Amino acid sequence: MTNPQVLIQFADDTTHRIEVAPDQTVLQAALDAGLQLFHQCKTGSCGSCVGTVEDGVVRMRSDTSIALLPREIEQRKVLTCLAQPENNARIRMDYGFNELHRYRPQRFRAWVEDIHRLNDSVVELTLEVDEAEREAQFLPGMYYLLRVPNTDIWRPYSMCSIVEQLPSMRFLIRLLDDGAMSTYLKNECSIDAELEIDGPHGAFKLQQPPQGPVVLIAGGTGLAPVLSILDTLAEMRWRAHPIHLHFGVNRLTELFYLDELAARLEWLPNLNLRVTLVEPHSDWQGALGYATDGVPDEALGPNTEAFLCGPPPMVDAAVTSLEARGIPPAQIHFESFLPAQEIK
Amino acid sequence: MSTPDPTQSKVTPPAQGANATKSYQPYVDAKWGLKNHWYPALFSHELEEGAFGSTKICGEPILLRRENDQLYALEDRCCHRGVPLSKKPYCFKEGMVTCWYHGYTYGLNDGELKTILAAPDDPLIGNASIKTYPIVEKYSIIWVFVGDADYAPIPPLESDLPPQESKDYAYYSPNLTDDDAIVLGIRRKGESNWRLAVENGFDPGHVLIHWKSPLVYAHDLAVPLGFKPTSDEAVKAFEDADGPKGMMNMYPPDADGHSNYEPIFENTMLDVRASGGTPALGIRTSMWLPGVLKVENFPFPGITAHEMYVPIDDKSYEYWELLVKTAPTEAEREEFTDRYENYLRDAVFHDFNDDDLWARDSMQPFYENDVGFAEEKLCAMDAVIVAWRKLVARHARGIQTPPMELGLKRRR
Amino acid sequence: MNASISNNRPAATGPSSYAPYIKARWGLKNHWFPALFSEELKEGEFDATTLCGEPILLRREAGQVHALEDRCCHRGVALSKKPYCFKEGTVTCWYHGYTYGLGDGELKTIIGSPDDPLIGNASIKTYPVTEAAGMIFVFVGDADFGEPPPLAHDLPPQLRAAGEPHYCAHLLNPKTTVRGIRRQGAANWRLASENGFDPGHVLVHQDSPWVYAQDWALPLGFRPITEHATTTFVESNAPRGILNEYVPGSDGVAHYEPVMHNELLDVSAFGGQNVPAGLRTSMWLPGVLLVENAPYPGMSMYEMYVPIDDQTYQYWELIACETPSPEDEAAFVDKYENYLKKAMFNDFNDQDLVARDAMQPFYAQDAGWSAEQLCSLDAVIIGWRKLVAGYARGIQGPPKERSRPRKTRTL
Repeated sequence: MTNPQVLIQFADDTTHRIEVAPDQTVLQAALDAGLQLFHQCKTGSCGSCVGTVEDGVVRMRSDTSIALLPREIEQRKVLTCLAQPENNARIRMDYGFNELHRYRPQRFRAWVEDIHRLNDSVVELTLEVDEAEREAQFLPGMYYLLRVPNTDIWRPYSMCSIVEQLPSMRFLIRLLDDGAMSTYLKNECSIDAELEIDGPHGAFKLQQPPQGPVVLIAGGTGLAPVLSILDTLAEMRWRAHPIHLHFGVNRLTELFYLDELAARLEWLPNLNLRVTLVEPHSDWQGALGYATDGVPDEALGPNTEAFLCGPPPMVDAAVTSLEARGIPPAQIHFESFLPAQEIK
Repeated sequence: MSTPDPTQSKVTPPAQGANATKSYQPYVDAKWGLKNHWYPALFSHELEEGAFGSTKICGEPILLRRENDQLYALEDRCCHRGVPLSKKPYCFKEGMVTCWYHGYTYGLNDGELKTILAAPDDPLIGNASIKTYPIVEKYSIIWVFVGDADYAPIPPLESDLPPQESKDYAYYSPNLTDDDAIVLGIRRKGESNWRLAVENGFDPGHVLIHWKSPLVYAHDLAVPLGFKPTSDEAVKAFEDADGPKGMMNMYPPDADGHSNYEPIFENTMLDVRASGGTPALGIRTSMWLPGVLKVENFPFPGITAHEMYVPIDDKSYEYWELLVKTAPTEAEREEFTDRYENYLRDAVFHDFNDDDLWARDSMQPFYENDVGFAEEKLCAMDAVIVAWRKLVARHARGIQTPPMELGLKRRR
Repeated sequence: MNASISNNRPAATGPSSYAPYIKARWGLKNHWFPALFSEELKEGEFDATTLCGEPILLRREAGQVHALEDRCCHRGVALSKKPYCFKEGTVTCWYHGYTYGLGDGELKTIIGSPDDPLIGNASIKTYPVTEAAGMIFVFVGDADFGEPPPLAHDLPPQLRAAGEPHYCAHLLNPKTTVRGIRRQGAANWRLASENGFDPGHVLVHQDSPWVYAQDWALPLGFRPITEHATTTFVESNAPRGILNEYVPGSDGVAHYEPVMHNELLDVSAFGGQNVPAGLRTSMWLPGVLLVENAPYPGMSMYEMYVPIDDQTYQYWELIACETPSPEDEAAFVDKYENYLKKAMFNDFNDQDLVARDAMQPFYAQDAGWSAEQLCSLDAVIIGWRKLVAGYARGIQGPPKERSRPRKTRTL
């Protein structure tokens, strides 16, 4: 005697088949199968888990009053948290499958909360996201697409802020001579300006607490996602292992956020910081060379996680170097920052 | 790699403005308090057997109960419609508390939903719960650990209290954790953010507000107009891994007579002077995470005054004032209790400390919207305060977020 | 430490099946709401109230009640601060003398500028008004809604016909006397409305003196035991509402079980012997509770939960009794004034005021709608929320558009 199979059909016509054991409800079976159907109370009271039976016979478990109106019952609606199929059935949900994912991209309105230059080429842009309808989400390291107002041009920027700071979102943007966003920021953007954003996006992200030392290598505005990762670890009071942050730029005039990084040294006892310039300068007493240089041996173990972000040559060099020093490739996460004009 | 010296910039004025606050940003974020720490909730005598009590710590409403000599602390908010259980808590059966509104009933020790009065077979039973808090009774006080539900291991209460001093110390003064100490005190509500209350407690310059206190005249105390740091050792930091974390003002001279602070008794430009009097021996102030003050040898040698500043919400705190004395025998306990009730309580907590209450409340408007931390203009006497802020930023076990019913607004 | 990076933000629960209800902080629009008792507004007098965030000025003139926006279109001040009536049919603002027609709200003159080009080209909103059952009702809605529906559609209907068992009074019927009070509560109107017919909340009334006086067999709560424990009314051109079937039907089937004892806690209900015959509760758009056969068989109790703003509501409590003769009326009024008013509205209902206010912090910033943990007793509340979401004639928006402070920084 096989268990009934229930086909869950979503509004975007994707389908998933689940098997429902005799003592299970449809919702339970779906959750067990990794299908995170919307639900809340799991007891038939809130109505979040409602679906429509299109095929088959489905009964609801309890004979207490349930949160469905008579006309809904006439329309063959069921609460999946109480639903038990008698035979194979098909249940239709009124939302798309892609809405299930916690980090699915969504469109938001946002306003400029603050904007100022950190140096000749880097701008710090802070947005306030309009979360009136729904909440924004992201994992540290991810990016959002920002639309250049009055155009169809979208540009990707990583957040240097953390999710706890929402509805505030902060970006570090490198100004290009002819870039669409750069032109807008230089000439038009002002406080309270309205922008559209879309996200989150990106595969470069911190998903679990690291199990060993953390190596963060950032070049230029690649510091943004790396800082989001660092501050998330700080927020969690993650002290179990050392964090080695290497931040490099080409020349002194390109430096920024030295005070921010120095401040973090004050209250992150497991943080080690190394800032490097490629080109020497009389006012610079710090290290010279590349951000990838000087990662100490004790930072590199079988459980080390590395997060690298910056221009492609820096990222390539860093990946090669860390692989050569024994970090398993699966534990090296990287993202290359390419100016949009160069994206084909 | 190098770790910055938390006691740096002792003799020069600390850095000012918005940039300075970056070096203790988590402290500026800690409007709602520090989480994953022990806090005092009630005096032991305030919770009788079979009674309920309630309080709010770091924005979390807490229900307390003593039943069969066991103590329990639970979230004072029914998970059904969010009402406070403490409005009219029912105990129909040992080990459980029932909400007055719809009869949701929770286990005292695990917070699990055990039954609903009129729906005993409801599927929600066993699938909903309210938060419970570790609770301990020591030193005449009931303490609650306020933090993440899954925080483990729970550190000992003593890691959030001042450490004991060696009995060989020349100016030894008891600690509330001493075995043979008697602890007597009061608590009352203050109308300012907890951080302002804390900073006032060990602030070397604030003693000016006490200069005309009746206590000063009654005992001819030499309370200076302020304390000026004079050496790199004026402030001592305590940062051992598992011990209490704190900052201490080294007011008394070292054993070799070397002085770290100079008490200032007069200002010639203004022609003003302190009432003078007998220099008090061995007075030292220290502040300990999460906000416990220790004033050794105050009001007299051999008595310690402790204060706690417990965040209620982002604009008020519970002000605890204690006097501690070594009293190994019953006779000594009676004698001190008598002196406390008939004299010391009013003389110290009111004639002296009342001025601290309104001083703290006066700072609140300036700091209410976080503007104050960027706009304040500190002086050389404030070095210990900046050092404290950095210590908190480094060592607090967590920064509390605003309560859920305010909506998920950002903390900063 | 958590197994994954998580944060305070809850995972989405999906599109709510009553999303419009969650948006209805400021009330429902295009409905009739009680503003004042008729006797509170005497001939020639002005008064003011706020309904669903809209400030409203009322005036009785030549017996007729008029309702206008209590906000002068000039500088936005409340006319009610000191309204003038210099000429029948008009109201004049105390500040600069802007004068509006009572009937159409049009600017008729400005005291110091009678030839002003603005005259005839500005107006304030007017509201349809009707009086019934001793109350003044105002239709709060879109200015261009057109002819408002009958008041009866925004009040509970007569559920049982004369002659049927458990027939009871209706506030709109002739030869029916209605008495009541109104007072303000510190909660959102939705929390107030949900408390009224909540089958589990009767627990708060266990200690009420009324229960002792009447020896009511008040249970710990009512538990729904069939799929037909509630009946919804969704016909067009009729009142819309949801009813708790506390009274078994003619087939004898009980849909709710009055729970008198909890086994686990060994606790019992008060233990009165008197089961109030025919007592049922129902909730009707836009937020009117009907309790049939209360306080006594044959009478009806009504409650209205009228939004003032998003955290305050006006709580109306009424008792209706059929009084065929003047003697009946006098007897009822006497009993009401000397006994029922205090015994029912205070000794019994005061607990409800406390309970509603106690919920307000949890829902004030809308966190409660996703954090609440409902149980099987709450099915009728979900039914109400869906009814409002599907059948309210409109959802009131907040009084002002969101405005942001202007700063001036550019790069």
